[in-house]
Amino acid sequence: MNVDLPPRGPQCPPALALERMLAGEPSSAAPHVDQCRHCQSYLEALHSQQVAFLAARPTERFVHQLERRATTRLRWPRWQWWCPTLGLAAVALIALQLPKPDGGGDATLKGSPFRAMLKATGAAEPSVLSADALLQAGDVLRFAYDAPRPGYLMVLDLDGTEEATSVYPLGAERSAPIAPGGPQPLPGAIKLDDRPGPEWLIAVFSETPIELEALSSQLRGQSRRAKLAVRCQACQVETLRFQKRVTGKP
Amino acid sequence: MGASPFCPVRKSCGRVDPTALGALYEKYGYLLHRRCMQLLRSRSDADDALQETFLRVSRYGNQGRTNDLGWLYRIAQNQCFDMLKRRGRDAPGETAEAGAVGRADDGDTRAVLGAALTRLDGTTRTIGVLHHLGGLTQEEVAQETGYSRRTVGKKLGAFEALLRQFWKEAQ
Repeated sequence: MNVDLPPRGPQCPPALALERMLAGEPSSAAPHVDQCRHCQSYLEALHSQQVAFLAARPTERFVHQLERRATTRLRWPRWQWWCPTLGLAAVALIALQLPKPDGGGDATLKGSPFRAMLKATGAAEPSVLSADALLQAGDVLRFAYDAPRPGYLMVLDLDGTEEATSVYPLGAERSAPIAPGGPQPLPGAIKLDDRPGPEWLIAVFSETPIELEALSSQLRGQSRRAKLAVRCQACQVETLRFQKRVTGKP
Repeated sequence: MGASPFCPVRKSCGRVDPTALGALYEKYGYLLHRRCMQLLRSRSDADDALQETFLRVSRYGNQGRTNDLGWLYRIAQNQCFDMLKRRGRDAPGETAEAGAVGRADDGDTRAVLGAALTRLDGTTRTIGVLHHLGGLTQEEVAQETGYSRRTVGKKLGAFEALLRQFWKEAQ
């Protein structure tokens, strides 16, 4: 930030030239700076601020944060986008069991519009995912939604790293249009990785599009709660929690 | 030194090379963060944008460029503009005309400038930022960007006209 940098004269080179010098890059401004006390003061002030910046944000910590961020980003491939290999007609859509009142999902009335179908590793047929079901890496989930009217839908996943990502539409930054009726199978499927749970699925239906950030910022830090708190005006929110069997290093 | 400071930032296994990245951060981190602060006016957003910038650098390398700071600034600025657009927050940067339209710390000024920045195309924004934040003359902007002096002049005119228009509407 431009915190009290000394002023320079009209003949002085642009700020960018001095910034290049600070970074150790060659600069045609060097001969001028050697003779100009204004530029020298400016450069000294920049250097002081740089020293203070690096003291407050040490290199090792920054690189560690970056590695953690990069590792979180590498999670995206874990959601393998599968073309629907199961014929839609072959998928039997059965209503979810009622969630437990103390958690595991919304204590909603029977017939939640949101349904998750589990194709467990080795299982011949998919089954309806129930609240707090125990899943494992390799299990495949598909979703269906019964929209009451035309609107927009987003299905998010919140896991133990407290990151909420959009699994429908996959990797999107905002919700997608959905026509009324259903339950309609949502395109694609997701395959679970081996990170431990608990994990939540959150289906948000609204009449206008919603940005992922508006929801993910609220969900951050809630994965271990008994019930999620989501503030969303004129939205219908359905939640479903499942547990993960730990099979390896996260 | 013969090799670019960017290489090798990315190890062959695809992980970040902490030593190379650390060296890059010590050289450019403060300047990039400062530019992000100028655009976003939020420390946490600037921290975020800085990390995203370095992630992109570690992923793609510098592709043989030698003008490193200018290139890094462009990546950082694009991150900032994407963030402004994505988060819908109006956190503008301080421009040379901030004194004319009001104090940059004023919430209304921030709203005006932020809204203007997100409305501009990438080229106009880059040219505006180079001139008003980088302090480059139009000739220097032309040299930096490769655009003609005439194009730079026109784009700057558009940049400043939009700021004035937004400011007028906000009054």
